Amino acid sequence: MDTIIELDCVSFSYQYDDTGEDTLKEVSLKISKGEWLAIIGPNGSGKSTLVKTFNGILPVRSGRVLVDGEVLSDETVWEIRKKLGMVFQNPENQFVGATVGDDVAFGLENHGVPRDEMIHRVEKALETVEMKEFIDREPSSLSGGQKQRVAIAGILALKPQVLVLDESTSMLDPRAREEIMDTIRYIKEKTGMTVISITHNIDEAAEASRIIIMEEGRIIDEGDSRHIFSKGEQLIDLGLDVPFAERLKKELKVQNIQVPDDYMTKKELRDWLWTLNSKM
Amino acid sequence: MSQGIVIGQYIPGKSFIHRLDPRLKVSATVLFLITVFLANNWLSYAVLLAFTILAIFLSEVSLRFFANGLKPLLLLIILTVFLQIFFTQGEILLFNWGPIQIYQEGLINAAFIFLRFMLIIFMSTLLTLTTMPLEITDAIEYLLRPLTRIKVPVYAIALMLSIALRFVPTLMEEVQKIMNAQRARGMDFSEGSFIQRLKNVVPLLIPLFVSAFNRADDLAIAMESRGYQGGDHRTKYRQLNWMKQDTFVLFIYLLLGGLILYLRS
Repeated sequence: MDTIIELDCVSFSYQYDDTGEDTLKEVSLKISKGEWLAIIGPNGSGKSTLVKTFNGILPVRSGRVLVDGEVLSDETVWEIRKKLGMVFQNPENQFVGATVGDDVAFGLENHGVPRDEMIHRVEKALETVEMKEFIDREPSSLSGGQKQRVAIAGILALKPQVLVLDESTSMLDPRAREEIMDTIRYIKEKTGMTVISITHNIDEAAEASRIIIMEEGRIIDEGDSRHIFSKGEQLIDLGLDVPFAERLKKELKVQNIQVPDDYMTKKELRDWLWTLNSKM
Repeated sequence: MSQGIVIGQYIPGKSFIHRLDPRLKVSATVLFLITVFLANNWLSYAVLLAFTILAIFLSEVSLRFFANGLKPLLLLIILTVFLQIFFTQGEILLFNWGPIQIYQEGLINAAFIFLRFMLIIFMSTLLTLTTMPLEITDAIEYLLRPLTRIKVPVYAIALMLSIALRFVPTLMEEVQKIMNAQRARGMDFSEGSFIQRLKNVVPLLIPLFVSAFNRADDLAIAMESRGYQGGDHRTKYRQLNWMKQDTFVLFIYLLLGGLILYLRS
């Protein structure tokens, strides 16, 4: 299969990071056209940093990034950004336009697409994500899931080859998350686009045809979902979602707070917590 | 939260005024402001007042909203009017209570100032009530376009304005959230002396600033990923349509200006 993204010994460090340690340590990776790749790993393992090197948002310190056979450089960066659409975590903070239509058009405006074609493409993209009747709505009247669908439409309108989802569903409720996943599945089926998703959600990771695991700036393992999920208990350490209450209990134990060992729901844990220090 | 601030509060509608081109509405409002400052006698003010009433009537927006627009400036208006009454020196003395002397000229001046305030506030409120903030931004961008020749980044300024407008509700919501969070920690925003209450704003502002900067950072990354590189080679999705009625209204405003010039003494 053709390679769409290739990383060759890529290292990266943030300027403000004075631990002297690289956020990405000589990462090499090949992503094939049409594949669905999930990237998992604990917070701070470099997942988001990794995808941000794909389109030059974060310029690499050493190593090479190739997208669609072209080396990422100052000259090619804008062409590459056209091929690579990214949807980020916070639905609110990536909504640029004053209305849904404006927001979808934003990328097209940037690339100088003529207005007639722009209108057509905006409508089509909104149709794909089933948001067409919202074209004149303002972002404040939309839910988080709807905003994320608009963000996806904004990417689709540019007809990219790769769709990168950087924890795009992590701030949504389960139903909205499911709707976004349906949309992605539909797009994937229709266009055969390459999908790269960073996620903590176990079901979302399971959608992928290949999963890579990152830790401390390195890719430590990769394989299909069966291979990864056979790790059982370890998955928690790999940053995949376990129920919130369980995670909180684990953290509390680290802080030397004696938490009852039996399973608690979110509400039970909350009730237990707020009565913890009261003497009534 | 947003109640009481009429400026920037668009009332959707389909009236004649609503449908006018925002460029026309912005430039006509500026023309009107200049005209108001030309008026200096009863007749000219009467003409302007009649014109304003007609415009308000045509907008089909309830008078209530215009009254709301007055509120934040009420104190300033009253103060100015009283200053005029008490401190204008003239020839015809009406009252003389020791240090307080009121002249007829003072009363007339006060009335004119009051009218001037009313006219300006009503007409600018009319603009903001019938025009979406975004349209106003578009209009300003268009009207300032000649400035690009002297290297003013008009496009970037317009984008900044529209993003600022777009984030107003977001930040309002954020303020509410932070207030609730601080209340949950025992903060009381409604009690204490003026100074104390002012101090209470600090634990509100700092988290707000932090989050606003984080948002700005996210937004910049999202914009760059979508190919934003500034400059003028961008195409535009929004388009303004100048129609015959806009030319007609502009003509009327020019005529009004001419009339006031003729009527002023």
